Amino acid sequence: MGNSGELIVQALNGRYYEQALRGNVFIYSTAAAGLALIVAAITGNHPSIWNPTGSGYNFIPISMTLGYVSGNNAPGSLALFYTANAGSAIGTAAPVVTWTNVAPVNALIGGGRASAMKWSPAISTYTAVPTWLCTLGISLFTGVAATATTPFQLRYDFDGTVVLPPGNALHLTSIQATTTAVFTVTIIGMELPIPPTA
Amino acid sequence: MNVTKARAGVPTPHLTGDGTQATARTENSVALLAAERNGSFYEQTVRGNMFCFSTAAAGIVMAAAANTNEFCIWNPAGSGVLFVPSKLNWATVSGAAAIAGALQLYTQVGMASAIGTGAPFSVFTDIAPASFLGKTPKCRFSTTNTTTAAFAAAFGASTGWSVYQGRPGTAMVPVVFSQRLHGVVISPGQTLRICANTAMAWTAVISLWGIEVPYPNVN
Repeated sequence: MGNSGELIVQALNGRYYEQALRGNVFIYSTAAAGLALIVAAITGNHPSIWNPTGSGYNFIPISMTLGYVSGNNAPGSLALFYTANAGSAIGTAAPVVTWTNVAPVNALIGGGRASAMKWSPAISTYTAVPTWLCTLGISLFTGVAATATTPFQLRYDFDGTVVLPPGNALHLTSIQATTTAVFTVTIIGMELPIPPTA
Repeated sequence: MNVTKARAGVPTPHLTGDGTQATARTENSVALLAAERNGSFYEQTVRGNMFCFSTAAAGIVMAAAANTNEFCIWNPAGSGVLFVPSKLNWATVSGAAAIAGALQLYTQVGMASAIGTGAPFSVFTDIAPASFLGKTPKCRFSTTNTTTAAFAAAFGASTGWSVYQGRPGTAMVPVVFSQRLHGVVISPGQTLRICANTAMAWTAVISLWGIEVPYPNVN
């Protein structure tokens, strides 16, 4: 105990180790070639995670990182949009019209269960334009590959602020017009059984 | 709870399987070994107490503190909750060359719960905060509001975020501003406002994540 009567603790492993060990953490990545981040639209094609109705799991994003590949940035910033009542079906009359599904990788590399989420880092389209949720605090200026500037890191920690229940989808977008800048995107998140809460 | 105390150089026992009696361990300085299972704010989020207060995607022009049209979260008197701001994200949309300045937190006290002539707020156009868990927030949020002069916002704290005369069209590296907030509690009848210390000429989007905690009994 500390001098003020507080319990003194020391972290044993890295954050999220226990969840990763139990196979609850997944890595959702674009292809290494990356993609251009675009404005929210029914034409979609934003990196998107969809927790389908009936999955039995909540999705809790942990972090998002971006790596520059090529092209010119347009001034603006990156944001999250969402699609509520997204159901679980894909089709003309459904909220999600088309979806290119890519299986995420369990962070228990080589082991763990399969993901209950749907992840699309490519073609996806929607009946309605996704709804604005929040800025990620990442501002892009007109830097280009040939600009002599310092290296930079594009990373966002969610800190447990977002829980995505079944029937909702989360989209990574730019808030400005489509840019030619191409980024790899990696989202790391947990899939936890829906808990009973008071 | 049984705790096995460590001796220097002698590791405490570990690696108990599921379904067995576990013993808590200490490290060599006798601190209890612990692990953060989920993200810092997960428990409040999954209980539906976390809300996201965002400007529209079009953003707002960053102005100096005044009595009108600022990013404002209002915990109205009688709400029964404390508002705990937890995470602040800020990003650019567009604009000309910025005027050098800083992003700051301001507060107002005695803001009551009514809107109208003679009240602290004569105008307050609500924007619904977002939550995926279905609870209705007690705090109110607006970027279109007018405060009676007697209740001018007071400087509360710097966010640590400053800009020089850069502009969104400048060829420079991307910038990340995302910050956890600690040690701020907004009681009923108070507001939290986010504005610049001078008119910055930039249009920005702001998202603030905050927790509504039922008003506790405190000594």
